[in-house]
Amino acid sequence: MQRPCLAINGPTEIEPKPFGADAEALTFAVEVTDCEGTYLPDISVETTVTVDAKSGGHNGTHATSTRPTGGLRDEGATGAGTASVVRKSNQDGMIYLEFVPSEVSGVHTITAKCTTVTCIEPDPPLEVGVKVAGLKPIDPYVFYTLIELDGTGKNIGDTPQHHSGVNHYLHPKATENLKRLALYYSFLLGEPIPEKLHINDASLPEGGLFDIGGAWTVDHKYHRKGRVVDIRGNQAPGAIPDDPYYHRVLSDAAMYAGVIARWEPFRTRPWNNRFHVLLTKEQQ
Amino acid sequence: MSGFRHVIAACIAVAATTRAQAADTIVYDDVTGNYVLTYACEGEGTITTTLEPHNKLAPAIDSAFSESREGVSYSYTVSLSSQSRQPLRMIALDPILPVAGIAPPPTEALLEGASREDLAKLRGAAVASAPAGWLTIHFANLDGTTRVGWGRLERTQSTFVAGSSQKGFGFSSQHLPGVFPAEFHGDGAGWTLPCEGPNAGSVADALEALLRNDYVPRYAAAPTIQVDEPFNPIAILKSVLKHTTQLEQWGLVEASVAGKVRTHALAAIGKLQDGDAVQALVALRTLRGEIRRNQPDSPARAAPPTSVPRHPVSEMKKMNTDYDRELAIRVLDFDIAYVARRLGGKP
Repeated sequence: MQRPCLAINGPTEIEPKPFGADAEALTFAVEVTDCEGTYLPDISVETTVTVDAKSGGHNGTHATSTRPTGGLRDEGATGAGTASVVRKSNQDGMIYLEFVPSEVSGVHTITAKCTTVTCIEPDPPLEVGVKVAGLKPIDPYVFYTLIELDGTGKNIGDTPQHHSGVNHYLHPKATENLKRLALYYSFLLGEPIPEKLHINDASLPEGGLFDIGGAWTVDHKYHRKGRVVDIRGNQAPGAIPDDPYYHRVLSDAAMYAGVIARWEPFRTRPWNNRFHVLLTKEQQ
Repeated sequence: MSGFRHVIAACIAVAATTRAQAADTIVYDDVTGNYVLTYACEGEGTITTTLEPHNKLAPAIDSAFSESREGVSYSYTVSLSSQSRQPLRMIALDPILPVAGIAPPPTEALLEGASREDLAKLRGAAVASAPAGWLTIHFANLDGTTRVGWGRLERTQSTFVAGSSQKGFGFSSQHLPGVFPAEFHGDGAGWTLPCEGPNAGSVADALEALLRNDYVPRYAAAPTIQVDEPFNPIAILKSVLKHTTQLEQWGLVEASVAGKVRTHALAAIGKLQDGDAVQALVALRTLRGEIRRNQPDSPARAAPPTSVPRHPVSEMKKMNTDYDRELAIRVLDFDIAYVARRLGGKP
């Protein structure tokens, strides 16, 4: 018998699993043929998913071995699935499976191989982007800054786990509203040299879990969809002063801009104090 | 209990337990009108914080509109009932159709590199186009709509307190009025959520819903029916029909009235498509007669009641007042009369 050929067909993009809710699954098909168009039943195939550990903006010192990976499961099944499944092709030469994303965005690769015979593996494999679509780097703007203004040019919010500005991604509409907020803040303060807001974390380039500590677990809450941003409010240069007047000006600017700002102080980590701004009113 | 508080109650019932932490809770305090949130925070233990919403006020807005050289002149009188527990900080209309006759929006181009004197001028214009004690800011949304806000000037707490009333808010627009929920934002403590707030889940969802509805809505007349030049009566009548459906959904016009608007407006559209402006006018006059039958007998317009409790937009239908219904009829009558006049007939 000629070596069977495997192919994988399915969608190539899906949103990450939301926190506290089931993930949407992506259905795909493994086709088993004789390489000339005839479908072959009853061929045992192992299908496997892997993830590019540095993708999705997790480009730093994360422990790659513990990175959550999406899972595979039978079509219509429940649960998070497993990294690989072995199934036989049906009478039509097909194996229908689902890919279940984790909370962490990134590039996943699904491939397959026969377990009892030698076969030609899928070329190309199915590459699935787990991502919140449409996020863009925050535009530069005269009334806010994304980098330190102390001469170092360092990206605000860079960490060893997420660096090179991967923390500054938003939906374009959210960026427009951020610009308005910054502009009104300057306007209401009435200072000729704009008091630039210092913009800290927004979302990662493809959204999803923003594991602020780099351990794939501790969640930078709400920073998953490119809708929120943090504005520096600690003692660092450029922070909104810890003064009721400046807090009121920012709150007023938020009201004028139609966004929602809240103050997030930290008792034991005051260096994290900030304004957290919900920039769009769309549901997640 | 308002629907929103139902939401909160539901969230308490299904308080989220996440990652082996104690359940997050959000509890409404009937006495203070505030919310108490309890949630776990990594490294800081259990956080309990009180949130004062910005909707502890009972405002009223009286809308007036008339034809003017620019199209339509809109003006508003705003008052705050003695039941209000917060001063008023800001009023907003968003999204409405573009307006004129108020200060230009502060833009990057205007502000970048502006001197202190330039800024003072811009701010002065924003103050001058608002009633005393207020500042106007409006801007164009990305989708071509407009947001207009009037905010208090005080650097500390607003002095527009319970019992206050203020005339003189307004603008002009080439666009015709529809009924629109204006936002009234109370002046309370800012939102403070230590340690990033509750974990994602039902309590966080309830909190977000609360944040999104953190104002009191009141119906006002605002530019919502698009008028383009050259004059296109069919397009306007189609917009009026669409708006009538919205008014019916909000419970501001009865189904029978909405049905009559549909019948006669569609008849007018049909005649206009046939090139028969005379018969279109006849249909519009008939429509006005039907609409006017639903206006109160009293020639004097009722003042908007100030005792309507606070409620979110989703609950407005239950809180509709005679004033709101009369406003809807006034708006429809005005819009139809406008089309009739522009068609060259006697409205």
